[in-house]
Amino acid sequence: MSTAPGTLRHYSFQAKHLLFATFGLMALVVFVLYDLPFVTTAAGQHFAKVKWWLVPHGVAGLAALVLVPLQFSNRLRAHHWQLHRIMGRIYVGSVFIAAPIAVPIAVMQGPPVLIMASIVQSGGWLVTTAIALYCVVTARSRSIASG
Amino acid sequence: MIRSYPFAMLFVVARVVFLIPAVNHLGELGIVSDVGTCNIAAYFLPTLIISWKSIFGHKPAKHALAKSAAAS
Repeated sequence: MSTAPGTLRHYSFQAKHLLFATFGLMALVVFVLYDLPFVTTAAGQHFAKVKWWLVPHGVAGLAALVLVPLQFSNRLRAHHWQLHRIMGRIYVGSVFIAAPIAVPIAVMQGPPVLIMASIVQSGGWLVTTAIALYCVVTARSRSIASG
Repeated sequence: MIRSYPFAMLFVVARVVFLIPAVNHLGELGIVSDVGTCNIAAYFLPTLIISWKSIFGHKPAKHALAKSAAAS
């Protein structure tokens, strides 16, 4: 995954840029149509019983959503390695906060048919992030061992 | 990391899919189908993206095949 500075290509539009731009637009649509009414209108009472669970879940989830596109930046990885590592740590921490909290929110808020979907999603998110962390740690220890 | 991010994207994508009128009209069944399908996609799509080149990549040119056959 690492890119040596010497082999770094000049900026060019890639598929991942289109993907992240589309995803950014979708996130904006979701924020305006779904989330904003819960903050600005009385519809927010719908989440009254889980509001204190939503704070860490929302903050950590937002951090995870925003940080990962930057983790895929070859330029950032090549030129700001330390920043890349710090953001990676924040992402992993965010996932380990946001994913488990989604389950009690689903249980308390309902509908019951979505509880299993929430468990499957949270489990998948935790497991894949743990695998990514394991790969990073073992790759690093291998590179240290090889000199 | 590429396998992890789709689960974060699911939060947004499932809600966007639910905006489609045909899905929206299904009500609770639509929500469950939507979230379930997006979950399955989050598990399998990264593998497809990672393996894209090896599955759909260009076949080696004839002269390259002939060259490797000659070498062996």
